[in-house]
Amino acid sequence: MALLSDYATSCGYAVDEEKTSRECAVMESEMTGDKINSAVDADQYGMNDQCRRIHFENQMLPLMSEAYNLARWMMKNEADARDVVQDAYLKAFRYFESFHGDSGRAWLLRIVRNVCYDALRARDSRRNIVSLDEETAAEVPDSKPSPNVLAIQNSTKLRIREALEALPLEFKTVIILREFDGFSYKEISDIAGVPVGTVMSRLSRARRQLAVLLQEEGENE
Amino acid sequence: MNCEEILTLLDAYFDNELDLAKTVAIEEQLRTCASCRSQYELRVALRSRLDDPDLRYAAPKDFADQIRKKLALSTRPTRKILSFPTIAWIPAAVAAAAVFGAFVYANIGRLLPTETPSLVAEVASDHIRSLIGTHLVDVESTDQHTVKPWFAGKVDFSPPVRDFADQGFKLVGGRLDYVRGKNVAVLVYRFKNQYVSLFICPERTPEAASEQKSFDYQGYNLVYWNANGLDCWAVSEAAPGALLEFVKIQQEEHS
Repeated sequence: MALLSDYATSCGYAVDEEKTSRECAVMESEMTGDKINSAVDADQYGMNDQCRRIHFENQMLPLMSEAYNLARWMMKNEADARDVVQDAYLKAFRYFESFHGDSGRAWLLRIVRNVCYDALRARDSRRNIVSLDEETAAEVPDSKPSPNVLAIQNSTKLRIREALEALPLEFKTVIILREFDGFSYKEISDIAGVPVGTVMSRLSRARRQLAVLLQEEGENE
Repeated sequence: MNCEEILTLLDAYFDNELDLAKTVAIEEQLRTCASCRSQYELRVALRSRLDDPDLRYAAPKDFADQIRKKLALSTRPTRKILSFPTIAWIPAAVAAAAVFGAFVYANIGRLLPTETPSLVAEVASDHIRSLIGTHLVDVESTDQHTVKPWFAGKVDFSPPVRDFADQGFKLVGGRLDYVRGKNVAVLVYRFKNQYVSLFICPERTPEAASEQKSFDYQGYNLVYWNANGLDCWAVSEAAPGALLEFVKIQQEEHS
């Protein structure tokens, strides 16, 4: 093991790496919080791969619970949700330089959503299901009696969950982003890649449909 | 505005996304129209039912760690394929290598240590292997009085074993590993969701440097130091700061 210390003292690049490692620690402590918000700033610090990764982890890993929740609702099972979130993080890391906005949350969830769609398309093509469009979803029937507040208030958690689960994917997504994560219409439009007007109409239809679903389940009891 | 127009804006109103003029118009309508009001109340009821932490899926335990590991693996340097311009340089490189070779030959005594394969790589790889496979520990115990005697007869020295759970580094166990073909004792600690492998073996020559050195290897951090005649390597995917803290605790214990 003496070689270890010889190695440590005699190897030129080892000293450089030590320096990097120290700088990295300093940088990491400086970077917690919002001090550095974009990769542009990060570049000024001349970060190497590892510092870049630490910076990325500090910014993005705290958002994991929202990322996972969205993926889990969209993918409908844990295993796929895990795969999707891991892929999304790797992708986000690869494109971290392109993140210049101030909402890392919206940026990351946009990637999660896109990876979910890719995964769902792959999954559905294996099962010969063609479309993920909201158009394929059942529209809210007009003939139904208008849903009432009591039916919603009396719904069990399980029913709420099932009703949300039963929503078409695009509707489910806007409900999660709005009600669970509290995103603005503008942010949802960025995440989902649709105009703000579409976000508004999707939310409206999603809510009406949720109300109808809860009403129906109440009646079937 | 009629009821239909109100309905198209109702969600935006409910989500505070409307400008003042429209907000006022909608509020006026909600005061006067029972049907519009009931639509609004539906949304209030829905929101209050959706505002429930149980409806959110919690990420699996250790998931953040898995992602960290994947990220670390993704930053490993990739092997480059020789491109044509590179090939064009080969004759020059061969000539340079010949000059360098002659230089090395002339100075072989002085240069030899750096010619050995990277020990940093070997120690780090042992740690990485222990995380990937099932060989994290051979003896799993948080009790130093279980772990320490386990090494008796397996290594020709007695490694100092202490649990530092109260400082955040919980003893997980010990394992036997090989570095440079020799048995070394490895203590495994858990820090938050990460593992620290502490490699210990007797220093092999008296002139070994006692200076502490930090390295990083493929996203893993390593610290070497020498304490009381023992060579120590701490390896972890934990942040460099956390690892240095661990080293400090170990050194204070041994000094």
